[in-house]
Amino acid sequence: MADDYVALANVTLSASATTVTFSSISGSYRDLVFVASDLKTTPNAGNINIRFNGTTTEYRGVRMTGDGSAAQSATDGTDRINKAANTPNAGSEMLILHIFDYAQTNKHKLCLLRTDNATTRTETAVWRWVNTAAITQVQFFLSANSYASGTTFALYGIRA
Amino acid sequence: MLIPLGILAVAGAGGAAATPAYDLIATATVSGSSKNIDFTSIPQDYKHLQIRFVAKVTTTTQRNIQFQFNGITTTSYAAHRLIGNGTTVTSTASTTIDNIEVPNTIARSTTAGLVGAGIVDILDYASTSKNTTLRGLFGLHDSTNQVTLASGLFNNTAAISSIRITHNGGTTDYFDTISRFSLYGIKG
Repeated sequence: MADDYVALANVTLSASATTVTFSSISGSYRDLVFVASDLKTTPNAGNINIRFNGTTTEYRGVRMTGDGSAAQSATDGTDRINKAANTPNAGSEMLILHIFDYAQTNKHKLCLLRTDNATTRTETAVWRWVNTAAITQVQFFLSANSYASGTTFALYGIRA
Repeated sequence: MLIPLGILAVAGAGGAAATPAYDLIATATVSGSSKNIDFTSIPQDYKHLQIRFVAKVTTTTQRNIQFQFNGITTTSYAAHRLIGNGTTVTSTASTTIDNIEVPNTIARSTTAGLVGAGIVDILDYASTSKNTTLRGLFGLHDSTNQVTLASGLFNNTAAISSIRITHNGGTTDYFDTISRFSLYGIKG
């Protein structure tokens, strides 16, 4: 039986980069899963931002965060998907982004995002991209600073 | 750094194939005239199951997704939830109930294209020496915005051979055809 959780791309940064873009994403799958590991920024902390198809509008989300002192929830409606707090320039953070029905043109794109950093916080969020276009490009970028060398991004496609 | 996936796909070709471990068992047909989604005759040769879904109902009220196993509709279930609604984080529990329910997970019909979504893991489903546990991550951005972590218990050691997915709406509040429910088997 064919494997229905398919590795599509895997990159480990050999040098720092402000933006990592996955382009020409095939529409042959049902869901996409991005896994970023050993995330850290350089030279200072910076927040991860995510955009689809280069679009800068209509991202709306709800977060739930625990930082070891308090549990908090907040909404965000903005020009990109992001986290409640910066990714630090030390230690290691991981991110898992699920995008449901990313190639379907009859629905908004709903995403579930988990980010975890053992030294700062754990966060889970739902994001809705209010756009029915098929997603063919996903961009991970930093508004300030860069992803450090050694950060890994992997993309998987799930069949349905 | 730009990663054109077409080039990476060619560059990665020719390697030894790994043994598949994550298989699509079935994607349910959503008729638009039923409030129940049933997965039956589930193969017993996987270690865990995963359900991935997007969901919307045909009426103007958000709904709570519900799970039942093996046709059991008695009070054999329990659930706990950690919920963020954009303002506060709350925790709720239901014990001795007739289904595993997660509130505010299914979009209403009001806004075209809007759905709720979730990923549900059912662990050791084929074991006959353990009660079945379920864990899930759910999200909805509708009139009520909510992200939820949930756990569920089916207080029964029978192997899971069928799963019913339904909701707390009325009998004529159907799953919209835009919905999708997919069941996967994970080998272990």
